[in-house]
Amino acid sequence: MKSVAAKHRRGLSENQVGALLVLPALLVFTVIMLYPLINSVWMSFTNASLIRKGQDFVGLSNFTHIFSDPNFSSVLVHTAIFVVAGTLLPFVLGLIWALVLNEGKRGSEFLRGITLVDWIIPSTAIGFLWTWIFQSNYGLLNEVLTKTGIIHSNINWLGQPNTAMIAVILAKTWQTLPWFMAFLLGGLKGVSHEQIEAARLDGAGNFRTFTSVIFPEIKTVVAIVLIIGTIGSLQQFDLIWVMTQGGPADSTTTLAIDVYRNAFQNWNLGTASAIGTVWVVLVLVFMFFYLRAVKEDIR
Amino acid sequence: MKARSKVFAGVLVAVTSFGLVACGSTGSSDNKTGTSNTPEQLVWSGWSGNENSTKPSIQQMIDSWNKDHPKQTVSWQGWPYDQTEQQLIIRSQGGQNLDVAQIDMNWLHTLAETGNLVDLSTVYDKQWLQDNLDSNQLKLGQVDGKQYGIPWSMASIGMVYNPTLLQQIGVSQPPTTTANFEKDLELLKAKDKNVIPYAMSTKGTAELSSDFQVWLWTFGGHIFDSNGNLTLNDANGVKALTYLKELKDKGLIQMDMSRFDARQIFAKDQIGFYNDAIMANSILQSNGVAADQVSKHIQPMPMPVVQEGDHPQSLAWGHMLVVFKTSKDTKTAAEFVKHILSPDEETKYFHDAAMPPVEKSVVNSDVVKNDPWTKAWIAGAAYANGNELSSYTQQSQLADIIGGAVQKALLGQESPQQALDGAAAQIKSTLGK
Repeated sequence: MKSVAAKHRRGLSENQVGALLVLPALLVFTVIMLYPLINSVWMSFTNASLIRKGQDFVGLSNFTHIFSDPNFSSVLVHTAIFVVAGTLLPFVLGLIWALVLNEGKRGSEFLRGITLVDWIIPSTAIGFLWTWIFQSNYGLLNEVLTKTGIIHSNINWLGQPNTAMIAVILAKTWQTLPWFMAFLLGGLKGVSHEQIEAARLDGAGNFRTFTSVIFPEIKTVVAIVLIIGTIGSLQQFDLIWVMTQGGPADSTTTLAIDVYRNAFQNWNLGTASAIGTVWVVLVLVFMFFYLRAVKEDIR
Repeated sequence: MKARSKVFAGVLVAVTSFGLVACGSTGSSDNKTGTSNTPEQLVWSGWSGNENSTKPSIQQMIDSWNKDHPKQTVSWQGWPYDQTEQQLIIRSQGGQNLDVAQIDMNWLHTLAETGNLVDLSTVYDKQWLQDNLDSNQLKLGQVDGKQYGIPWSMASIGMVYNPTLLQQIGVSQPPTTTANFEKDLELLKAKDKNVIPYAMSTKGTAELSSDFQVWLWTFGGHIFDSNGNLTLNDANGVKALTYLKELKDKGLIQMDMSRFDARQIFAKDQIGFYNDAIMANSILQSNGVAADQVSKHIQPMPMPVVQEGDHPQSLAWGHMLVVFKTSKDTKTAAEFVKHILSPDEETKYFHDAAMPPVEKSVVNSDVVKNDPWTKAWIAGAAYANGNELSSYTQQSQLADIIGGAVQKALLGQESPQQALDGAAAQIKSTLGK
């Protein structure tokens, strides 16, 4: 009996079974994510080109080149503007909308569903939609504004640096507002209604109720969505490319656009990889804070 | 023990399956010489088969070939124009199968640099080339003495205008000088504030670079002088850009305008002048203007000159055909190119899509020589110059630099001198000059 029991105990351990179960996902991760990342970082130290086969090691030459390029500082500034505004604006609007929907008034379910519809529309399609809206000659926005007498001649929204950036930020806001709303609404569902009612009975207004009762309960969710939202904004390429191609005069060129241009217009994979490596480092900073927030949430 | 055996067996099966799939079939025979008995399909890549004005013609060429070659058929694989160069480079460098491709003549040096193009002088009989194609045009398809490209359609990027709109402002003939051009633009703007007087391509830097070069030459400037020295930012270059900046400040040029946009808006009689290639009239027709009305809405004109007596400038433009080394069957691919260039196909292409032919007998035919649009266009393109950037493999990057500088000047972010100085410095750095 003892030998039969011992025999059964010699099967796969829990750790071994776990490793086997994780193996397929690990293989996919290695092939699709880890290998390209390592290859890109390696390429950033070479003069790899789409035109020529082969590559030579050039050390930090690509990094020196990009950091000494006066245009690169503009790219960083544009990236910062787009990321900050393109994250905070949909977050604030998404939070307001989530608070409204959380009231549970009649039609909330329907409105929540409608809001989520534009989340499933592809970025490229959203880019084309907003390009049409902002088009100076036949766009919807100018048509409405001129017909209502708010403006007297068409504004070239995508043809001027300041308005082009505003246009892409608004398109980004429209795209990601549903995502912020959905996660924040989920967080709000965990806030006790009794506590909110008690605060209101004590005479607290909406703002005081939000800051003293609601926000403390959802601050971890807020931190996580802000970090993930920032990472998403840092990665945004297709929306900006469809609407402005990084113009006019590079005024909407972010790191993502710069990588694309260097790789697929200038054929310079080394420089593109160097910019990409800088980009990854920036994203890693936010990833660190995200993982810390998740750990605290679990604790 | 049983569990371990099961796992080991499972892994063995998975590895074996993967290995079988990965090895796969390598094909039944050597297809390079087209000797296989299984039908083979070649791919013709480019952009014209995706554009409304030329799609039917491209399909007709393919259908007529496939009818006569049921075992060696051709299919179309296309992308938008501004993605085609990138697609061809990435796919050929990635080892993907490409057979025949339509290219813009400005891309030839870059594609040749990849080492993936077939030297067609090793495939075609020299006599056939000389008998059928103009030697100057053949030279345009050569890089370092190798015939990588065969000319397919050659003309220029020139200016077109809307006679109907000009009549509305009391102008019966297009302007010949830059001063009169500016006056006509101002009249158009005053008549209807929604009309775009001159739809210069200001959105994409590559198109802007091409349009700007013509204005640069108009004012006596060049990007490089005859010795290869950079002269972009000299006094003539600044004059050209200052002129365009003044047009922009007066609202006569609009930002965020691509050539594609200009074609659509021109078809609605909302543009007075813009720059396009010779098939602008057939594009207008495909955008909804009736065939018998086209001449009332679009006419070619020579570019305005600074002083009467100067030569009107234009940009030499053309499509070429190339064959890739990764082709399954380079011999058949080359035969397909001959088919496209045959007198029948060239004549049909000219008739249906207004694309200028290169085959000698078609060029000299009455159909082409007496076509009023072609005659007027060729007259305006008598002094066409090649794109100054096309001989550089970094031509795309250089165009981006110049287009970006022009955008900055037009937007007032930098003065014309500053913008061109900045561009010159970047070009020097890029070329290692």
